[in-house]
Amino acid sequence: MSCFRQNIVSFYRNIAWFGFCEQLGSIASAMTGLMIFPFFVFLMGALWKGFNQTISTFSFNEVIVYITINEMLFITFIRNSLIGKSTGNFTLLLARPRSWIGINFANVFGKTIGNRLIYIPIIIVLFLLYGISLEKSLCYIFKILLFLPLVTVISSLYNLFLAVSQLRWHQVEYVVLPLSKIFLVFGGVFVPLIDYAENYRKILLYLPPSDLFFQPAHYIIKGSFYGMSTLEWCIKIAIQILVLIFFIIKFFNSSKKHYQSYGG
Amino acid sequence: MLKLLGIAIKSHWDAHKSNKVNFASAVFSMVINNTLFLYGLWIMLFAGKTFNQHLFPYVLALLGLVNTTWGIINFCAGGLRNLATNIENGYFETALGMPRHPLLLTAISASNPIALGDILQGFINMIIVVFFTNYIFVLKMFISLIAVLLAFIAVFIIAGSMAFILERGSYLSRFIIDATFYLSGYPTDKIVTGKARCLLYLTPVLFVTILPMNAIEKSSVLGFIITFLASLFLFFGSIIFFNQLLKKYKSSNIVGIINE
Repeated sequence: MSCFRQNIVSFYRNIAWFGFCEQLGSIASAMTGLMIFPFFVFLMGALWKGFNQTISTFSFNEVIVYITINEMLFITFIRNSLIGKSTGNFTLLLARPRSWIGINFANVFGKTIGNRLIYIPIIIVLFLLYGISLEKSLCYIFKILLFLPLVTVISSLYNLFLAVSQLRWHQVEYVVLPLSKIFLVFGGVFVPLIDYAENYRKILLYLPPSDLFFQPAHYIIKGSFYGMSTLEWCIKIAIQILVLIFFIIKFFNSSKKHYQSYGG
Repeated sequence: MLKLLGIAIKSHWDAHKSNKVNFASAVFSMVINNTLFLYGLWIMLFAGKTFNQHLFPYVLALLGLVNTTWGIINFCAGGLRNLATNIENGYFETALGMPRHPLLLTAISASNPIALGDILQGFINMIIVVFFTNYIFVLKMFISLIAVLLAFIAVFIIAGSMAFILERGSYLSRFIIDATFYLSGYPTDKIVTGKARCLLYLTPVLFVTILPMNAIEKSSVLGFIITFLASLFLFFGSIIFFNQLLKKYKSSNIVGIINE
């Protein structure tokens, strides 16, 4: 029995590893994102300096770190390409003695982690260019790497949730853009939620996007979560994961009943 | 040329209409997306910050101009965005044997339905601007639209032509177009200072938004003349640039494409 379980774990690990290697092996596919990344950091840094510097508790360098972390997480968050690939093999994988959800989760997780790690060298260079010492930069990178697996689990679940929704309703590509915009705005991707007006900040801190973007970045920079303990953040994240898993399974079962295989 | 453009737009429109649900979803999702972005800008930069609020009409006007022109190009001449990719993958070759300019044929070869959402949002922004300014300001925006449109088209052409001389030029092309779009969509002229500002003036953003917005803000006739001349210069310059690089075009064979 334990041998069987070991085989299952090693199977999904291999799938994740394959996705990871595949992403690192085709850096060209992330080329435009990589080129535009420093531009965004510069632009958003300038935007913050022009609009929010006088009221913020963050220093300019801290905001650069904040924007860099969140930009990296956001660019690699929900992607149409991952959703399309997950749904492409639906009929084929239903015939296998492995879970479609498990295979696709492992694959998306591996790919997203790989995609995010590609940005790490650029992030170090950006930190140095903005005058952050190498020691401090490496310390930030270490903290980013600590958060990366957990944050990537959630973003993989969001991708999978959209993939199962696509199986059920056939076309969700038009939902992706507004949905990612919701996370951008309500998660404080470009501007720390601390700098939002108080009435907005109070509400947004309770919403899931802030736990994915603002809070991890705040922890990496300031060493603690904003307005909550580590335990509270962990509970909120656990609830978010459970809710996503619940809906993924529910939609998956519904999709199996309604799925129509085209072609033949 | 205009007749051909009209026929292409009509046939694309008919194609989009044939799948009404898809078309409506695309347009609706883009309007929602742009509205969320605008709302996001409001709560990130302006809500509760009275010292920033004088810049809100400027941002609205800027987004109005950028969204409308971006939408018009992608809806009416959506192929321009894929120019570099088409050159790389060989689709461009089909435009070479035709009795029309290949740039025009590539431009009208595609239309993005989602771009109609950008056009709608752009016009909505312009309507909102009236409440913060006056009708004259919006009229000046409409006049500037032509200059912005020409400048944006020029950026698409120059960026796309890179694929004639560079391997994997499509990445550079996508980068130039996206970077110009993003830099133009934010009030860079108001926030970037020092050396970065000088660098900003060396980018196409100068033609796309900085000059037109300056002319609108200052209501200067000279400003408008300079803006239009600059846009015309960039537009015709881009076509000459394209024609020159077209001479360097080498068609790819299937072995070459596979080896890449």
